[in-house]
Amino acid sequence: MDQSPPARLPDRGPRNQPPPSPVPDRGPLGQPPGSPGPSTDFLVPIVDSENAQFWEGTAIGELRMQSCSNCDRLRFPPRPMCPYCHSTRRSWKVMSGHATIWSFIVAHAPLPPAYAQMSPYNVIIVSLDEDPVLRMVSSLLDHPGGAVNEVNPATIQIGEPVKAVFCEQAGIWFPRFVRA
Amino acid sequence: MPKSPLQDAAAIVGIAQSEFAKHLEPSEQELAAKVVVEALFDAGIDPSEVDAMCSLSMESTEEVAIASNIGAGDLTFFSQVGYGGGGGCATVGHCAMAVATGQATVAVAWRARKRGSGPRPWAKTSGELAIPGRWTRPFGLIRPVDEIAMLTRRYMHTYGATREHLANVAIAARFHANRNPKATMHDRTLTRDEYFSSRWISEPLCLFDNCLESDGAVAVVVVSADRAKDCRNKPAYVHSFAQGLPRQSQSMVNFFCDDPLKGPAWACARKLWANAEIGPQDVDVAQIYDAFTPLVLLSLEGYGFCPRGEAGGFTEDRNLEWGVGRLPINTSGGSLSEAYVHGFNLITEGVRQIRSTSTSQVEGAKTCLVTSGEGVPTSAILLRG
Ligand SMILES: [Zn+2]
Repeated sequence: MDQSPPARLPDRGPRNQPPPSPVPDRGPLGQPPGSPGPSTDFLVPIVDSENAQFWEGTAIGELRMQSCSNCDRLRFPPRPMCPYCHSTRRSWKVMSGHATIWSFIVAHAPLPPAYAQMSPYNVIIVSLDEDPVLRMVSSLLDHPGGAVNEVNPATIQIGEPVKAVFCEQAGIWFPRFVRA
Repeated sequence: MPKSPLQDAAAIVGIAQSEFAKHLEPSEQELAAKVVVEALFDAGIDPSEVDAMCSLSMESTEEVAIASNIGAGDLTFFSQVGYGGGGGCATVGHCAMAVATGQATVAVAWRARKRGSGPRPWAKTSGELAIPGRWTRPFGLIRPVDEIAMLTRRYMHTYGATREHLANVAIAARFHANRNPKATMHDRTLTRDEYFSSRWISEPLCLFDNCLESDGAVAVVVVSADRAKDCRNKPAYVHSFAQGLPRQSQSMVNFFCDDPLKGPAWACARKLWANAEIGPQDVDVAQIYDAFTPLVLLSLEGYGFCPRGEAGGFTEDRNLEWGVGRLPINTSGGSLSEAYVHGFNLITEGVRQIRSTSTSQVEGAKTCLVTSGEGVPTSAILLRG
């Protein structure tokens, strides 16, 4: 695969920030430390010092990726060290939100109750336009704010262009996608 | 000179398995202790001689429990292997390394699990998610079947494989189970029509692309090649052993690396064949980890039985079936139709093929490949008579 650094991105995001401060890991987003999480049957992302800026971004409508401050390569999932140059200097860059569908499934029961209620629903993997190796798991919605089970699965195609939108569920702003 | 100091230096000399069923009455610990003792009797070795143990990190019956139940002597080697179903063959490999290097003399590996009557691990919605799972499970990609279905859809799109090919795998496993009285699905046939009319679990995977949910236990005994000559049954020599964790790989949610369809099997196979005197063309029969049918396609390519992207075609014309095909696989019925015990029943079936005691015996089989879970950091052993 192409390992060259991604093209420069429009620099709309937090720039040249110092590495995240070593704050103790928190509980689920929006909850005080050590809290068991919101009263929901949905699985919620665990926010820690390494990924907090991702979820702070989605809450204000930004899709952010971790970036090496030494060699400028993007990486996902976030981690302390750049696997290309071994620098631990890192920041976050705002992505365009444009992507293509890499693969998808349609999940049917048996599932945990909250998910079974919505089933059958789709789950997609998208490749970000900035670097196709940056892949994220998400959902394809009919419209911003729509449900994860509204798109007719028979119409979903690998390679379809999509665009990020941000939707609240159980107090968390999730990046999801609609057709571009 | 052997290609590796481990080559044929150790052998599996004892095997045992419990009854397999949706529900067994005894506890996991009781099942584990019984199969370990039975495997030692099969080898003709007294339990007090056991001085090494290896198991999965997911195993609920730990070394201290096994040792205190069976009356083992002083243990001088014990280890656990991570990544669930990827670790089965590695437990045998670690046992082989322990006895081949003189760290121990009699090693046992086991797996006892009540996955049939116990809870489904994925059903838990509270508690800490592992790092990669934080980026997948909240989006509804929850079960192992969902994670593998995602790779399967991409694989089909990229290489033109179809559900017919997945059906070939399921039907071959069931054909072999129908010949094995100890298989859970011994009395239930599976037709192509039944496969295609079954319900979806995670599109593109249907019910019959999934393994069974079983209660059961399996154990093996490993000793050095020298000691193996004195044992009760014909030794199955560990000709080659490897583990594989490719660069940038994640456990199960292996979507974030450069080439997700080139999974851990490729890394494992490179070492496995480099350490062996033989190649894939010399393998008489194989036990390929089959928690889901597409894992067999990915493994056939990874271990070099066909070129990349051609595993679908390789399954055609009953090529995986006993008495017909070039490479009979999962000759006891495997995880799909005998029992799902994290692939440990594939290991015992591999030994039976070397001993010529399988219910779907490949005539004159001298070599059997056994693999562990693809899609997770994995392992494999090449057994030789
Ligand atoms: Zn770097």
